[in-house]
Amino acid sequence: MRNSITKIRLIIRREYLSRVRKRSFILTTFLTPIGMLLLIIVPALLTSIGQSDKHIAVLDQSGYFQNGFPDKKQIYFKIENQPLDSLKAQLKAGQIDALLYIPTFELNRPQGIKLYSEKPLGMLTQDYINTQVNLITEQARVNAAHIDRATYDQLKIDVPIESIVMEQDQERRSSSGLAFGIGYVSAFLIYTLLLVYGMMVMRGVMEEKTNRIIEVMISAVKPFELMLGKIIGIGAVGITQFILWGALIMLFQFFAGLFFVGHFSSMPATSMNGINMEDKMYEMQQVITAFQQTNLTGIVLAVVFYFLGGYLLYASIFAAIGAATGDDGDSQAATFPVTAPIIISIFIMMQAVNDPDGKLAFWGSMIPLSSPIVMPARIPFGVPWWQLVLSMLFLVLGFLLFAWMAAKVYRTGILMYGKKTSFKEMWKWIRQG
Amino acid sequence: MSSTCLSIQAVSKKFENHTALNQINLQIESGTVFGLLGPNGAGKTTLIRCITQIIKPDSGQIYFQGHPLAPEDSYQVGYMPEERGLYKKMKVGEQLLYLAQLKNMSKSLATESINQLLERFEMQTWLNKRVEELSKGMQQKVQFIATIINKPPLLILDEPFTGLDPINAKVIQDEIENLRQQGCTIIFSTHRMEQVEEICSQIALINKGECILNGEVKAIRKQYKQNQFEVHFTGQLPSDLNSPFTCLTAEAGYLRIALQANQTSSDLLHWLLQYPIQIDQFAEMLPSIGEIFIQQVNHAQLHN
Repeated sequence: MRNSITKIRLIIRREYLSRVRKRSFILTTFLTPIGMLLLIIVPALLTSIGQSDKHIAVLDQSGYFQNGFPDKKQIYFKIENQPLDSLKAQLKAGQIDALLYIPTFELNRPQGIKLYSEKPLGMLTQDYINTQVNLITEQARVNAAHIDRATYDQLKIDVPIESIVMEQDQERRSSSGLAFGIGYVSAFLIYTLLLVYGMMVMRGVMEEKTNRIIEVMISAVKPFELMLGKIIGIGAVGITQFILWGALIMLFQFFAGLFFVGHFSSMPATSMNGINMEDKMYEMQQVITAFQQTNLTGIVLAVVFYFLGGYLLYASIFAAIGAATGDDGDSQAATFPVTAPIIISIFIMMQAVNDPDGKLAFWGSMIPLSSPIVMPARIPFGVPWWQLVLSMLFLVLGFLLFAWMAAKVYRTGILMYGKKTSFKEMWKWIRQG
Repeated sequence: MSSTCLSIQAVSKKFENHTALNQINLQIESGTVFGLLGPNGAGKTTLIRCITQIIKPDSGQIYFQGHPLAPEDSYQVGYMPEERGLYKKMKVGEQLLYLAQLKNMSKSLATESINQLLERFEMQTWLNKRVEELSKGMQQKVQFIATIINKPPLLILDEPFTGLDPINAKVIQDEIENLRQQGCTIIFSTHRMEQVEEICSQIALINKGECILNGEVKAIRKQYKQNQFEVHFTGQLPSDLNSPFTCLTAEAGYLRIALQANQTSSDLLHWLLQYPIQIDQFAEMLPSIGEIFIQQVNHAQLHN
């Protein structure tokens, strides 16, 4: 027994180190978050860099806009009194970039405002113009109604509704939006990790088989030890990557925090689109309390548990498939029956976040093949403890059952060459082993 | 030293629809090189896998150094399979250390042994090279080192020389002899018959799961002798040679003769001496193991 553990440890060490030391591991670990970041930053950067100065002529026949528009970086307005046609000619000649034509209109029905340009103006510029027109029209309406601005701002409201879940004797604030988000993200995370690391296990087994190193290994260690060592070793690689990503995100948040603090403090805190900043703050506060009151530690623990359970279960199956097939061509077809339940689980999960206490959600989170994905999505909504315990118990039992079957297929499969293995045959190995 | 290293008793193994091994009995003495021969698919690999405990025989017993083969014995058996396998991305040193540790060697002992062996095979400079950077022959030497690293008392080598150039083949062959002198028992599986005669003292021929020939190389060749003699001589024999013997080949300076059951080699010598020739060489022609192999396999096929 001690001997066996020593060997499994050796195997885990090799499987772990040989992957973690690989250049590709280091690259994916550091480049994935950077890549994601770039995906967000680059388009924003490009739009701001790519923009040239825009000179916009405003022909205001309504009279509401005579005070003009506030200029913005790279967007300059000029109130004109020339006829529309001569302005259009200027536009054609390239003297101005755009022409905002505001005919006379009724305040109740602001219609007929046109923005002419030779080339498309770009989202940011158009948005800005639109916002400004709205604001000024709004102000004109406020004036026409003889209300003063402060009164109007006070009248404007976005009523917050707290949703509270009655749980035994406690009342817990909940935000189903937040639960939805957390559940969805955790489930997708587990889904991705199951596929990525499951496939990694399969490729590892296939490498050993096509390399024929398996014959040397098997004369020194038991097939089960080899399989277990490989699964745990690769699982550890996954956890390492996870931790590194977590650290990177925290690091990024820290630096981003330093960067943005300057930005926010210089922003006027009084009014933003007329909505009171305090209201916004209240909303934020609510989300934050919901966050705080959601049992985050519990959710993280559950996600880790379901990831580990699901990984162990699926990695066993992937290992068995890798052993029974061998070269890449075969395994492509053979993996389908394994990837299918994972993908079906994702569909069940999508239903489950909409109806976390429905029948589908319940059964999906009980069956060990789908529970690693469905249950983490349900947990943020609150799951009765007996369901949680039962689901975890089933997952552990399911893992043991599948690992036991996988070990049998693996043991026979790794020494079989040149023959295509059908599922019928694998079933026979399981029964006979 | 003539204790039995490995005793295989009535071992049978059936796969789904064919019998891979049928009542195999073999005795392998310690400190010998034992040749395991047989055409492809004869059951050699199955037998080897039974000895290395990769698979279990359906019936029969295998005794190792006097006791029934037990899981702990797996480190006592060094196995080099025909299909070579190494982790391609691993460095030679790491790989050898890993395999040695899996065979229950301590890290310090394994490192010492690795350095010694790499030095002996003049491969120290390869220690930090990845396996995929090595030539096939080099990989094979690494594999051989991995097999003998813990000095197991029983070595099973499946076609150890294929793919090696003559110089490296000699290095391995010398090492095999060296190990044998230190008391190591070697089971040597091959199709290369000339190597069998050169290296093995005992052989077993397996065909279709049955052991059809088993014993000492010399004894087997004697057993299958066809009473043929060859004579190299200088001088002239009369052209109208009226011999009481069956002459198979008669060339200038060379005769090949088959004796009848009632004739002896002395009779042949006596008869030759009456002629004015000088006999340079007089030898009994024993069939090579290769010839016996082909004859026996064909014979078995005819009988089925």
